[in-house]
Amino acid sequence: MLHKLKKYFPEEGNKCLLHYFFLSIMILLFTGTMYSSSKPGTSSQQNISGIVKDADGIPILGVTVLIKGTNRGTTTNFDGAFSLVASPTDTLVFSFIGFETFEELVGNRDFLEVSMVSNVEGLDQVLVVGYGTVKKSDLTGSVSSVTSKDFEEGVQTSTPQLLQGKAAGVSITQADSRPGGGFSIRIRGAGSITAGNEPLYVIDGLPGASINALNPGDIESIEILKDASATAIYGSRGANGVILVTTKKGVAGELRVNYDGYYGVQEVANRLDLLTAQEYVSFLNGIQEDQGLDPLFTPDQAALVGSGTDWQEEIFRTAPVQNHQISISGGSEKTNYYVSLNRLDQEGVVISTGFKRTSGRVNIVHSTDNFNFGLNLNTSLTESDLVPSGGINGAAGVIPAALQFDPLLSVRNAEGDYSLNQNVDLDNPVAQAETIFPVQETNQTFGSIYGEYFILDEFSAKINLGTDRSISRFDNYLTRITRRGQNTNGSANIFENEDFSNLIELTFNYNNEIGADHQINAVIGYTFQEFKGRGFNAGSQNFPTDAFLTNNLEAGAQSGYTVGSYKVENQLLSYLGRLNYTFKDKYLITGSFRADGSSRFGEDKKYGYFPSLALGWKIDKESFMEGLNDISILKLRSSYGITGNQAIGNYNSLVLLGTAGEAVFNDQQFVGIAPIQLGNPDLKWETTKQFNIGLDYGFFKSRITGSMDYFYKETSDLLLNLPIPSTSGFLNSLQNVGDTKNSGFEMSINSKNFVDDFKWSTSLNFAFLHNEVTNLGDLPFILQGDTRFLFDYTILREGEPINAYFGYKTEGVFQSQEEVDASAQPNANPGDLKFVDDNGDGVLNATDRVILGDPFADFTFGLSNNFEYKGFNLSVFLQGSMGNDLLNFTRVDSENPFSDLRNRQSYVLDRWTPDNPTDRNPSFINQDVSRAINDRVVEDASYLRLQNLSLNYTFPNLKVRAIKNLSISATGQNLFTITDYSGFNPDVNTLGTSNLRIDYNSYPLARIYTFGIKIGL
Amino acid sequence: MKTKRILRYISSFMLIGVLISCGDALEEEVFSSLGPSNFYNSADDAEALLNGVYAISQGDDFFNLVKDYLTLDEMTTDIMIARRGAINAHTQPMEDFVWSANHPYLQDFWNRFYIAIYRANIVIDEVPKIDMNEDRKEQIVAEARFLRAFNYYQLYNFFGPVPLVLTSNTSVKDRPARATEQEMRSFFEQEFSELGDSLPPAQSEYGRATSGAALGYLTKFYLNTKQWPLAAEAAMDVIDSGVHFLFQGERSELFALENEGHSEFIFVAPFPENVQEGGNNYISFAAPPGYQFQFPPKRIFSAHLKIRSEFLELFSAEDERLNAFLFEYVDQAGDLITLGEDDVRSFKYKEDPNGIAQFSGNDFPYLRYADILLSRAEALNEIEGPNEESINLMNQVRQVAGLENLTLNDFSSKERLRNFILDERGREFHTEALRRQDLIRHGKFIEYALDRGKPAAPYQVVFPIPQSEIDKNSNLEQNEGY
Repeated sequence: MLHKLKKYFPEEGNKCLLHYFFLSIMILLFTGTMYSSSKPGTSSQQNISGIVKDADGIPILGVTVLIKGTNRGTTTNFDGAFSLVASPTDTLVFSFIGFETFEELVGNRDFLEVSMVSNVEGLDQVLVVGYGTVKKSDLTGSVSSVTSKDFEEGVQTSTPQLLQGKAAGVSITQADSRPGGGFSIRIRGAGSITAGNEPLYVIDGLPGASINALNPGDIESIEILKDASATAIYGSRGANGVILVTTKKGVAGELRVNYDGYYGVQEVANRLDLLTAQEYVSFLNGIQEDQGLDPLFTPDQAALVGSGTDWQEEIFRTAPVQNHQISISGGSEKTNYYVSLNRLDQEGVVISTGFKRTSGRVNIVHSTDNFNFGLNLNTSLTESDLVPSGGINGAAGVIPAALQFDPLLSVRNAEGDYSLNQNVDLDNPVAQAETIFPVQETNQTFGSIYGEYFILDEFSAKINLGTDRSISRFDNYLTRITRRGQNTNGSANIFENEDFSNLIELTFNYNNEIGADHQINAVIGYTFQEFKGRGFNAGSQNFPTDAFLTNNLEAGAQSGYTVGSYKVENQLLSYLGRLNYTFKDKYLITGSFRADGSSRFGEDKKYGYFPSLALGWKIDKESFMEGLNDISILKLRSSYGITGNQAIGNYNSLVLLGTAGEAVFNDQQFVGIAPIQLGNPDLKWETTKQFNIGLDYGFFKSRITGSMDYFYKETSDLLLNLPIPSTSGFLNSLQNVGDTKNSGFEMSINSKNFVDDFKWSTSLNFAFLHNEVTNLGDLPFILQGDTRFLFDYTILREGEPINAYFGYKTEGVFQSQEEVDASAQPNANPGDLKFVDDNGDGVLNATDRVILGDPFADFTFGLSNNFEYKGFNLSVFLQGSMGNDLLNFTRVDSENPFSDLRNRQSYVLDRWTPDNPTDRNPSFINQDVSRAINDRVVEDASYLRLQNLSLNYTFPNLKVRAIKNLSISATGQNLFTITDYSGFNPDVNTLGTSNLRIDYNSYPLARIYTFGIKIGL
Repeated sequence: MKTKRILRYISSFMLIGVLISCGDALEEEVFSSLGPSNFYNSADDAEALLNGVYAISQGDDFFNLVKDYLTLDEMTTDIMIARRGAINAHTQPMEDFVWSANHPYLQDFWNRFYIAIYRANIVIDEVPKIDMNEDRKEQIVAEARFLRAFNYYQLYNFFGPVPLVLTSNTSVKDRPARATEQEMRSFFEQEFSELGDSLPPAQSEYGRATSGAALGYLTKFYLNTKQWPLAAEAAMDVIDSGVHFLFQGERSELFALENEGHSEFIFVAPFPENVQEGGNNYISFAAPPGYQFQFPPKRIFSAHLKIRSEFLELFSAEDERLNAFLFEYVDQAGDLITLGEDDVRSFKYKEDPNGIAQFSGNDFPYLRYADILLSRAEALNEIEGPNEESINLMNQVRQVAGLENLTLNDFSSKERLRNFILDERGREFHTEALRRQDLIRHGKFIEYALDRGKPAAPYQVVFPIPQSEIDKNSNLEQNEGY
């Protein structure tokens, strides 16, 4: 039958997905049939309704009402009312964030009135974990939860931003501070060298969903799974941690309309101190004179130099940002819905940059007695206005060009054209921003639908179908106004990429209480997920006019056409299971298992097996604790498990032939083909073993709560792009070689300092981390890095952190020729930097390079303080890191400019001269470029930042009938950063999510002031 | 009973899962590349594989080729220096004779040569199995053998004997040791002389290997290893083939684009016409600040390659080859700029009218007929001292440069003629990356460097094997001194 059906779905690539779809449907139909034939007697079932109130008698909205031992239930509506079908022997469990869970036997009643007691900490909060939920008190793994009430006010445009400083052991750096720019997240360090280190995102049960398409305003909570007990259920993709995002749901009750909006202004938080026009002239004349050369500027010329141009002033601006969100939610006892629309419009602090996102979301849940159905759908359109960024020399983008451009030139010359210095290979930064038009548009939709049958009260089958599709297009047009545009006489390029993934997941859930002492919760299932990518690009140049931009490629000269295309696919097939067992509500055990098959590995190595085991002990429930009233929570937990990583490209195990350059005969090009990959049929999973021990605590009636964790992670069989002898015809081969380890300690403390009219609460989290390469196979070390024609600036070596900075150590400046003669640098001159001859062989060469710094922070922390009084709420959020270094390539441009005519940072004025025999800076005359990577450019990037300061006022007892609630807020973000780091921003990585971390002309951090308003109708 | 029912569901689910599992769910389907099973089949496949070998040593794939060769072969000599720019980190150690085994250009050349050798080995191993025109098949294999030997010769020239890998069956675990000097020499001798017979004297497509190229490299191999009679004989074979002639126009015009393909060029790294990217970028390194190109738009890099003034003293005023240099120019601001001490530029490769930005179509010569003539002249002098034929051969080259003939009487000794030939080679071949091997052969590489005040030592006549190769291959021995 299956084969006949398949005929109607001829699309080849989908065959396996379809296959699993049919398989799941069959199972569901099968179970459905069995359900109807074996449905337990319903005669004793009856309609129960009721109302839930707090201690003050105010109805509580959104309380979860579950029949104990089942997954069946409902939530209370706006009036605190609920209604469901239950039998007299059922016990109803009422749970809600911030309240003690309450249980009540139904008995022969049809109406219940329940009063819930507030729980300061909300330990009975239900947390989302992989393929299920668990009460926080029953948790055995290490999970950090950040809920919407923890989110800071102000401009929060992406999900990772919400987490910065909020969860211990979660380190976030900005891949790009531009609006819409990415973030890089490391959970408990980094284990992989070649494979990816970013965590897996799971949005409403959809693994791998695109986090950038999500509007943070739709998020209800974020759970960060850190230890193996929590992540092993995501097996293959769990090694870097998992971030579970749950979006807002409607609650039973009348229709509610919420508006949430803000308007703000942004400015560059920190500018570099560059040479002014006057300083530039005197600096250049100074170094000319010291070399015995004629000054570049005669006294007459120097006198004519005015204030010149501050190019940072020209490219930076004060930029507005605004965000508007409307959400509509509500529902009946059976169906609830949440619909939202959002529009973000953020201009960048660099001219001609900006980001716009329009997104919409629909969440629907429908439950009957035995059937639950849900839909989550998210769609978004994002548009990034970019300017040329990065690059060096003639390809240097707006920021690098502005930092190095001739300060004597005005933006435009007397003829009204953009100025250029004929002796400097840089394009005018303002011209670039105004006449080069890169635009990135991404259209992304993801969502899932699920259906769940309750075959028995305690046993259900669930099918979950998900999809994520993204189409992004990058357009770039270079008008002929800039040098690089002139070079091609106008050039247009379009890149279009499509990414699809489809998921099918079938799970069975079992949830039962046997007697008073045994609680069992189990899940078993399989999932199949396929990923497809394809794309094409086309380019054209030599246009008759700049009018067409990228909209008429054929108007360019045919000789300049370029094209390209690609297509890739990969699949994951998995079986999973988990068992939670609780004995006497004191002793907890969780075991999980996942078998994961990935198409990316060698023929016989496709499957990996990822088990985990965790134990928990609620010490506070023990009888011997009874007298100790000050200790309200004390839970010890420990876990051990194995997770994997498959974040490598596709087709790495295969021998591949591909295009290999072009031969030139008679001046024409002929495409060559050659083996481009050696193939590795033994390529297998990279695995991480992790041990975790933790303690959850609560003192003084949970006025102080928190947890602490120690972890030890070992990653082995690294997916390492291993350098191999080039005599093989290849430079690298992806092999399972090497080990790394990460260990650390994490702690969080939440304290309610005052709880009366004046409320003050504090939360602090911090983490220590140690990262180390422990094995590299046969190789003594591997050098990496290639930026600005400088190579090999990081090292992988046993006992050192991954990609530690590697270069020369300086020891001041040569003060005299005698000092030079006595040194390992016989060619040096007085005024040159003196480098340490590390091996003492009297010769300064590459073997004298040493470790210069550690890119990983030893210590990261976040500290929130919240003050509340009569509707006013003031929150102060500080965040930072210590012990991390950063290689500042922007400073290399000042230390060793490509040409002396480039502008530099003003510290160079304090340079060595015979009259200023300083050790602080060299003479800056003909510096030795081959030692440009030295301890002067690897800087301490520890910082402390006032990330957020927010004052909020909620209007009490609104008399206006139509408005249920109203609050306004004023927020300042990134108000100050205390750091010794000399660049724009210490927490960046110009190389994005790479383990190689540098700062090179990164987009500067913005300081933001916003005013916000929230209205509930 | 409930438990039983639950177990029944789960077992039926598992059973169905196993029975109807999609067997090829995890099969990887490749769309944008090929696998070996579906490629080594047709004549077109054979040509494409061969193209891949050529690509490595040609300009389209390697647009920094000229700058990289000049850095190793002329900045270490009396001809060229580089100043400023990002590449200074790599050019300065060469000029200063303090290069290390970590020099990225050494690594880059090493990689390129071995990738080309691997691809040539694929052709040599796989093409004979393909069913196709037999003549063409043999020729493809011969061209691949030439390219393999050519790349080994480049390696030998930089590093001395290197691992001699002659099979395409390589693996991650291979750790080949260096061949002996004798093995290297026999390899070159055998390959170049056999290919001198099996390759055609001329190819319909300019850029392909010919018998002249094979015999030409045989000449250079014998010359550089000082096997003088064999060198003279091999050079004679090239001369006798009657295929190659000196360019007769204004000497510096030989390198104009319209004269590409002239028979004086025996083997070149061709750069294509109308390149969008890649392309010979030499002129952007040579052009001085503010230089006004005849055919803009063209880029001027921050880094500048310059000619040492002392080298220019080798030229007499009437030498047409002086036209290859830029001594002064009017810059974009309209000022006449005279290039001073050590600041003159070699504009040997004439501006490409169609070139844009840094991308030009100028070919880079690996081997010219003038080199064959001067090689024979040098070899004969080494065998028998100053002689008529040597003088005649040299005069052929001087005549086309607009210079007066020399006579045997001008050279009183073998050494004087030898030195003169070395200077003549400098005048003729500057900016063609031959100076280093010429100076080494004449024993002057280190001497000249010391004269320039560099801390040169005799071991520096070969470059170090790239350190990372030593690290990856424990059987690889470093050159002495490094």
